[in-house]
Amino acid sequence: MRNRKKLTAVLLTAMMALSLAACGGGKEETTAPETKAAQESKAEEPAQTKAEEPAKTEAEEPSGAAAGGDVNGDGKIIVGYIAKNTVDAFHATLNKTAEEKLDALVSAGTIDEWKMLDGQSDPIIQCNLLEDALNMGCDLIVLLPAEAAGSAPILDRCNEEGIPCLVVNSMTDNTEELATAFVGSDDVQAGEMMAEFVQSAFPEGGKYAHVQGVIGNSAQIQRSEGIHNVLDADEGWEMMDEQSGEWQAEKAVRFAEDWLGRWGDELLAIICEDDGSSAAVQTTMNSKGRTDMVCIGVNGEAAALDMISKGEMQATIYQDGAGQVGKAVELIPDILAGKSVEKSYMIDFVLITKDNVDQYK
Amino acid sequence: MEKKEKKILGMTQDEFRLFRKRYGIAMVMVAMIIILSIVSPTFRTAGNVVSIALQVSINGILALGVVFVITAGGIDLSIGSMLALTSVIIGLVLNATGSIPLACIVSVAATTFCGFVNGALIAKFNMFPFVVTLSTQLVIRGLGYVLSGGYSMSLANADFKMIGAGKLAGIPYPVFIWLAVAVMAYLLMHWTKFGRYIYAVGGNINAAEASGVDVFWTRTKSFVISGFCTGVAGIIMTSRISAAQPNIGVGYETDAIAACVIGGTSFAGGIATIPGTMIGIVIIGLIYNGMNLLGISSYWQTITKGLLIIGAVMLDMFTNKRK
Repeated sequence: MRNRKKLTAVLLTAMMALSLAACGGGKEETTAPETKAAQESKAEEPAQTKAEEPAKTEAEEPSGAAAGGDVNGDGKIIVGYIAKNTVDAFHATLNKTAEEKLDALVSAGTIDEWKMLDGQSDPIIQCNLLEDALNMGCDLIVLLPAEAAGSAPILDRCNEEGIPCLVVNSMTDNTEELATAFVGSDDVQAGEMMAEFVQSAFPEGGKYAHVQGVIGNSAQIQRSEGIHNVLDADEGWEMMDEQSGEWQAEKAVRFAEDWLGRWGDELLAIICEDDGSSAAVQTTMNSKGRTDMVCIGVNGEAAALDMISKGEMQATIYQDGAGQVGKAVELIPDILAGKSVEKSYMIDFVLITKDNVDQYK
Repeated sequence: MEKKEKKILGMTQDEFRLFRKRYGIAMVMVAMIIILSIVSPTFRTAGNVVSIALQVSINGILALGVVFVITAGGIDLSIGSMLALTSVIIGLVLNATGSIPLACIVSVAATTFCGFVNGALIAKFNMFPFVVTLSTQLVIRGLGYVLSGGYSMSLANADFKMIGAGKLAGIPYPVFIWLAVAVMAYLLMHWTKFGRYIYAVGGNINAAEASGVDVFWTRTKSFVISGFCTGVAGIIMTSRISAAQPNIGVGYETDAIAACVIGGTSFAGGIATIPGTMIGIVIIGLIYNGMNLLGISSYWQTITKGLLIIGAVMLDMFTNKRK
């Protein structure tokens, strides 16, 4: 009895240790980054509200601000970079770009140090990391929110402390009012680009089906909106079905197989909202002899790019995460110098086909 | 180290052995604090100490609940899902009525009930706690999605934020809540008949039953306590992110269980102390905070945590063998 208990204990422990080691990766979905479209109108107007903020800081910390953005007056300019996570492919690329660019700012002497903080896709962890960042004396925060609502208190806190906060890739609910600037992409554009590619591949039109992401996620809502904007207006195209694959490739494949069974050769295209799904669907279709089918998605993940360069898939929509974070880091010197920056910067999506895939691999 | 002194009072031989074991892990904690103080100037600032306390408060409350379950020979894997359920219920009640006390009471009642269901299934039908709570983890998570429709809700009552963000004398409220739960857990575990029953049931369930312990209620209550604590932690969590989200709390059971195990709680049941659990909680907080301050990748945080658990369990096994 006792031995069996011990055995159970050992087994449970081993399981826990394993799940701990895996928990970084296990719970991550390659969630397509969330962005909100409503920003574009805002992009034109200069950041009037925010322009006051450096001024306020200057009043509080005359010597510090004069030294160039040293909000907390500790004689050092430190940037805190709060990542969404460090495990999914998209964010890994983004973080790598941030690392290069921020290191360059350190070498240039614009900032003294920067801290990499991993939010592990958890808003509570991100909130905790902000406290760590403040304790470490950070004077500017770059935030890649884990959640629109859950990561919002971070901006409240930054505002309280008078620390500028750059929001990158996806927005928090309070980004419009509180962020120093937002750099991201407009997912409606991604949806429209997918739909337009499908139109151009089959000019006569036909039947298509649509695999959505996690319902309610802002990327899902806006990409769907983009697809419908274009194809609902085109009488040649008929949507047969629309289902949520929840960003999971195997779910997308299950729907695709059912759809192929129902509509066979009449089905010309399957539009996904992430290219992990579209690549998996295309592979399945190719294996069933439907290499003519257009399966298209968004992100620019390695698997999809690889298939495009081999000619196994026609296209994907690349989300320029590196461009987003690069732009954000470019803003840092201006913000530290107290210059006003725009409230919002939109980085374009890029259509990737066999012609330009090599530049993005 | 005032916990150590509390425990020396009226210690039996068995308890002394326990103390020695806990002393080992307390030394680990002290060593970590000393090393981090030397290598990181930020670590020893008052601001950082407050941050650590705030950071561990959620996991701390979870661990103080689940330690009862583990001591009674069970395991509770459903607490991460219960956090999400708490959050969703708070969102629904708060947005419907605007009453903060009502939202807190309803959500804690819900998780306490979940704990009761867990416990009753396990104790009544003698099912494996691992399997039952694995299932309820799924059911409760799904329930959160059903109730919320999968969406996160922003909270209508802005005052609710103060539970997580408010401070008294520079110390955030969640820290006080955590410490209050710790005092209650300490009294319950070490000063009541129920606490002794928990040890008895976890140590040898047949012997406990033979000597007249109400095994069903003791086991069930351990899960009820875990459910209650999870509800309290869920309130703080929801308040800190000031949003009701059905997808939060995934994997939180691991850190809570890890804190118990690092703090000397035996997975075989019957062995645990509240001060030890508190040390386990602090050690996990130190791992996160220290490594963040030193700029060590979070990949290493998970590895370190995993290795510490193995180390703590090996310590546990050796001590048991010697006995």
